[in-house]
Amino acid sequence: MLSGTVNLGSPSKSLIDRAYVRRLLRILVPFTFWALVYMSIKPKGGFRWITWAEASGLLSGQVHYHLWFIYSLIGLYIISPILNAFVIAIGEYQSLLVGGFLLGLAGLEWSVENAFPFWFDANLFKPVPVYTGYYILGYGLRSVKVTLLIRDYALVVFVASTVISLGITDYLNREVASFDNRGFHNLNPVVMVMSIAAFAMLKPVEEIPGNSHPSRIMHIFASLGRGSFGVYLSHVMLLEASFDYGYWSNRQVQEAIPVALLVPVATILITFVSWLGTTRLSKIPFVRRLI
Amino acid sequence: MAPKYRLAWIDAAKGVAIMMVVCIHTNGIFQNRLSPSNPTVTWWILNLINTACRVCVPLFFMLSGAVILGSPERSFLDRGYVRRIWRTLAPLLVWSLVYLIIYRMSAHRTPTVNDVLGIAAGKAHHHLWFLYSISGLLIVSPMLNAYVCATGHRGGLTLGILWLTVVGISWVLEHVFQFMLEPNFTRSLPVYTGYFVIGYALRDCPVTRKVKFLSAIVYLDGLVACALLVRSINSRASQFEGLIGDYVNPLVMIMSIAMFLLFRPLESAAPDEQPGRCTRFFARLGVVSLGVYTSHVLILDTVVRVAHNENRLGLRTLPYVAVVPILMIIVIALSWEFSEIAKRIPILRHVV
Repeated sequence: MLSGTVNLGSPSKSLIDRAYVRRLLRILVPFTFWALVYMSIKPKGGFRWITWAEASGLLSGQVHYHLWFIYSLIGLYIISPILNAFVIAIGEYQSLLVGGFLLGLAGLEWSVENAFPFWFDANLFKPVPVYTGYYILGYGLRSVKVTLLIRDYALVVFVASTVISLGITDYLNREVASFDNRGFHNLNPVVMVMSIAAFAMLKPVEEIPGNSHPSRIMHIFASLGRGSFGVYLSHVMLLEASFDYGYWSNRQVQEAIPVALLVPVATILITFVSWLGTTRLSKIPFVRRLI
Repeated sequence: MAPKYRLAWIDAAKGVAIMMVVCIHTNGIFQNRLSPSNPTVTWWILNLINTACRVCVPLFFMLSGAVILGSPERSFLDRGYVRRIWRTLAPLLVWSLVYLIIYRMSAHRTPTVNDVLGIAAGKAHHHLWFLYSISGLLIVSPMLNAYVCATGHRGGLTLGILWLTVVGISWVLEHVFQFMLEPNFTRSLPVYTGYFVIGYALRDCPVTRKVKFLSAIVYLDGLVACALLVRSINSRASQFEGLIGDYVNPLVMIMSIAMFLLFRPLESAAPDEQPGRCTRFFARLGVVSLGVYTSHVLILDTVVRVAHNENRLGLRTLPYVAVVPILMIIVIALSWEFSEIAKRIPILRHVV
């Protein structure tokens, strides 16, 4: 949604527009670099040269699991000029309707496909990437004015959908051998509602005077947001390294921090370290293009 | 005022394309009966006919793009858009049910609810795949329309060429190197988007004699190359392998664009100038091409069974090279007549 907010509605029109190509390269170059890093470096195994066959996995999607998101983003960025022309032609209100419709359709298909062994025809039901709804909705929602009432509603909806998502996850995992993540899948309609509510909560409230000046906490998150791509690409390396070296299973650590606190502590630590690394590296001329 | 004869060339091209579709399906029945590992003169002739006609489906995509894109309607909520989608989905649904019921009944089976639901999963009768693909394109057409309106013919040409290149490379990687590209690279838009947009981009381009000559050369070169590749790939096959005729094979792409350019000069110079007799004949067929497309397989199967397999017209004594055109003409005539009649019946007119 945030990518849609930023990328759509821009003046660049064509597929060969310089701004468009630059935006695409800003994803492709770091993605290629980090995909190769994840292939060649294992925290405990050290560095090893990768073969051409392994490197070609970049094109076939055989890369580290968390990079699936970048492929989805690339899919959206490829058709971004088309979506851009489209949302400009129809305006923000209709973008809201179209985004909502596409998202609803994707959610319905996902629900049917997961509830029954039934797969919809891709030509008819998935002619654009499944996340296009989120992308267009991000553009449509950017002009929606968030009042205090809307923010309160969004909070209630967010909490309620989180509880429903928890309930679904609990229900699905009661009698299964391996963990079932469908309760919080990105195309689960409950998560869609949760995401839209979160988006509305994060928008500045217009009724509050002086709200255009971000608070200190907003400054911190904005700084983190600027390095979010680098954090996304690098954090799994840190996470896996800390697991591989047994830091989180260390007895002293477990005694000092209760398990319920371990996850938020680890999250904050890893986010902070990867953000720090990203901000430092972004000051080095050529390296900055890789994060 | 709407140009009366200006779009006759598009209808005529559709008429030729639908004849090619019927030809491929008729030809296929007999080509499959010949051994590809030991090709005879008959096999070569059928191979050339089949290869020459492979441009039919891409032509349909390009002609649809030429008509639909660049129009003032832009939104998903536009009445023209909804009507167009309905005009494709209604025949898809009705003809899927018709084929399902008839073919299940002829196999002494009752269609089940799962069979009917299978239509939404794309499991309709084999030739109806085209309606799924064109529906996918029509669904995204407001997006493509907005893009080509913003960037013009040049932007459309760039998008079309880029997408055909991506899809063509993906096809080569998959079938030559057994390497599958990640779906987000190749499925962000429907596979045939390239043809659809190129149809729009080339619809108004002036075709000089030089361009016409070059297009003819390119088409013939592509035809020879494809026919030889078909022979090469089938040299050790026990059954006919039709991979080379794939509509996203780069050679077929080039042939299709060349063929599209060859149709362009059929456009009338002035809006009210009546086109030639031949153009008018094919344009009449083109107008009912959807009805012919949806009905011809049923008619073809019936005609082949009655006229050839049961030998009621004495066709079994004739060589395949003669049987194919005879059957093709019969099938086209019957499905054309059926479509013309159906067009006059209030409810049926929506599905042909």
